[in-house]
Amino acid sequence: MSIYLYGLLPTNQLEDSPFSEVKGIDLDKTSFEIVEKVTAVFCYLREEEFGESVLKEKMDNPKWVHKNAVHHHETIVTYSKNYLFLPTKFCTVYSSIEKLREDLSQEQLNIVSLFEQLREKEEWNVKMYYDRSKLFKHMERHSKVIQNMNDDLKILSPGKQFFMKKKQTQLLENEAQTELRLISQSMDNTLINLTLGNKTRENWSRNATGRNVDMIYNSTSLISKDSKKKFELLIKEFRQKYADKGIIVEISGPWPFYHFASLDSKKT
Amino acid sequence: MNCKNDNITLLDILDGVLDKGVVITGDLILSIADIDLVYVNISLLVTAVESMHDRRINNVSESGNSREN
Repeated sequence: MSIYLYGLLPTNQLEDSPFSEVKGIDLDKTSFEIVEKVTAVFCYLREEEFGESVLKEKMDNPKWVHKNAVHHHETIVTYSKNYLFLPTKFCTVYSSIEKLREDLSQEQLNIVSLFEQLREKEEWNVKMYYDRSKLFKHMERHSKVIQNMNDDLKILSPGKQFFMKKKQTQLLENEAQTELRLISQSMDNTLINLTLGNKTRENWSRNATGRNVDMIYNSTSLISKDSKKKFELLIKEFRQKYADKGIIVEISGPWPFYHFASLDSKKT
Repeated sequence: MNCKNDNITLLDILDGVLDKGVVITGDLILSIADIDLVYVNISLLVTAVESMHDRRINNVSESGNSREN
């Protein structure tokens, strides 16, 4: 009988927080399986609903993926509240509980080492956006080159003014892009110095975010619980420093360890 | 979890669970490893969520249970 794996937790943590079952992705509730120092949280699946070919078809259905990806996440969040929980990727399905046991035995040392690395840590997402009109207005007011061009414009003929304005727009665009690169780099350096790990990700388009500002930075950081206040303070300072330029900084967390729970020896 | 924007939260969830997380071994019978899937389908997913949301609001309105803020 195949099983759906949600994640792994250190077995010794079951002493303080006994396991609680919750609704599984199929009909059965969640269960746990202890393999020495590692405990797996899973649920049993019906072959006709979660066989490989059926599952591949379901992955093409956005509504099914959305519903079940959210279920996967919510289940992981539930267990992350009580345990140091290593989340698995969505739709991690094993053909049998025996197969899972074999793997957990083989990877025991790596998984225990990962538990140690992530103990007392949290995963946070950092995103930065910019408000184009606010940034451009700010640059028009503060760029010396643009101001000099404005002075020159006054004494030029209308024809020359047209070309000068075109040049000015291009210059403003270039300066804005340079400024945005510097701000993103500054955020990246801040996070590299402040956190235990920082992974930058693709920026999302406006279509994806549904917002009227452009994303210029998207990353996930691993921080120690002790330094959370310092992390929040530095983000607040960064936000204040660049607010006039239309820069928006948002953080969210703590997230399950989606980006930092990876085993070096993983095979795909 | 401290999350301000529902749309961004959903994207973070999908981005997180569809490609990240522990992969223990090749014995898995299925593992969705293709990151492109997330980006290709992400707007479709958001659209699907929005339509479900819209339908729910319409259903509530039709049944006379809507409430104005």
